[in-house]
Amino acid sequence: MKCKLTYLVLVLIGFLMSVDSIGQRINFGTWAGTSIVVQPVSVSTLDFGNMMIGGALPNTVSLLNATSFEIIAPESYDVTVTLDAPAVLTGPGGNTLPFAAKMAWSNQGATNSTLANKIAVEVPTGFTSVTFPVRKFAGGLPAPPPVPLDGTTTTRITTKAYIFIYGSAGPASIGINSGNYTGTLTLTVEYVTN
Amino acid sequence: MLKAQVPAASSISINVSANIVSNSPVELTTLNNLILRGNYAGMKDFYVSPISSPDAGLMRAKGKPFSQARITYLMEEVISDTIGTGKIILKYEMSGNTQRVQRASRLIDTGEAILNFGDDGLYYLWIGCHIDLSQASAGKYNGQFTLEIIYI
Repeated sequence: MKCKLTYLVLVLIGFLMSVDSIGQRINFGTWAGTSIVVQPVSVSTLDFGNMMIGGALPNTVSLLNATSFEIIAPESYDVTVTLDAPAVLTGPGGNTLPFAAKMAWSNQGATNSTLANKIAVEVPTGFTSVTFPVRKFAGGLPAPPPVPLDGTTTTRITTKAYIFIYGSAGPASIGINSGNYTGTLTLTVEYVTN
Repeated sequence: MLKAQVPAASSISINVSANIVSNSPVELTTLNNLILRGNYAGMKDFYVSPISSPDAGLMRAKGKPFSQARITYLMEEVISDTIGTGKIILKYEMSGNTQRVQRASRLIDTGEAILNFGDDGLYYLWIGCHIDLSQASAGKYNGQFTLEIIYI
C-alpha cells in the first residue's frame, strides 16, 4: 500500500513539471467560404441637424439615436471592424466643422437593432477599430473552431451582429459660412487575420 | 476539401451632414419701388413682369458669402381703398439673380425658394405682379409687399 501511494505522488509531480506550452493562432478567416455582408438597418446617413454659428457646444447624436448597420457572417468567426472617418466636415467656401465619430458593437444575438442597441458595447474614444466574434459565445470561453467545409458541411450558419455609428459635430465657430457641411465615413468589416 | 477563398472584407459608406445657420441677419435694401404707372380706367387687369418690365421693384439682399438662405413672400394680397368701396387683388411674382441682370433672373413662382449667395454675398430680387381690377372703384389704394429671408 505504501508503494502505490509513492507512485501516485511521482505521477502528479510529473504533471506539475510539464514544459512551457507553445500556442498557435489559426487564420480560419482565410477559408471562411462565406462573404461578409454589411448593410444599413434603415439609412446610411448620420445627420447632426441645425447648429448656430458661434454656439458654444457641438451637436451630438447619442448611441441611442445612432445610425445602425448589420453584419451578416458565419457565427463562429471573429471580425475586425474599422471606421475610417474624417476629422472635419466640409462646407461652403471650403470651411470646415470639427467632427468626431464614435462606434459601438453588439454581438449577443439580439433579434433586431433596437434590442441590440440596448446591450451595445462602446469602442473607447480614440480607437477606430475593434475585433469581436460575430456571435458572442454564451459560455464565456472561446468558441470551438469552425467545422471545415469538406463536402458534407457546405454552408455555414450565419448570424447578425450590429454596429452603431454616432458622435458629435461642431461647435460652429464664428467666421465660418452657413450652409450644409458634409463628410463620408467608411465602415470596413473583415475576417480576423494573423 | 477546402472551399475557394472568398473576399474576406466588406465596406460601406456613411454620409454625414450638419447644417450651419448664421446668427447675423440678411441685410435687405430697396433699390427700386414697384411702379404702377398710367391710367387704369376701364381695365380689368394688368401685369408687371419681374423679369422684363422696367417698372418691377428691385431689392438687394446682402448676406454671408457662399451661404444659403430661404426666401418666402406673400404671393397674394387683397387691398381695399381708403373708403372701403372697392378692392384690388395683387398676385406678386418675384425673380432672383446673384448678378444685377434682370433679364437673366430666375422666376420664383412658388412663394418660397432657396437662394445661394455668391462670393460677394449679394443677391438681387425683382418684384412684379398681376393686378386684378375687376372689383376696383376709383380711389386710393395702399399695399405692402412682405418678404422674409432666413439663413438655413
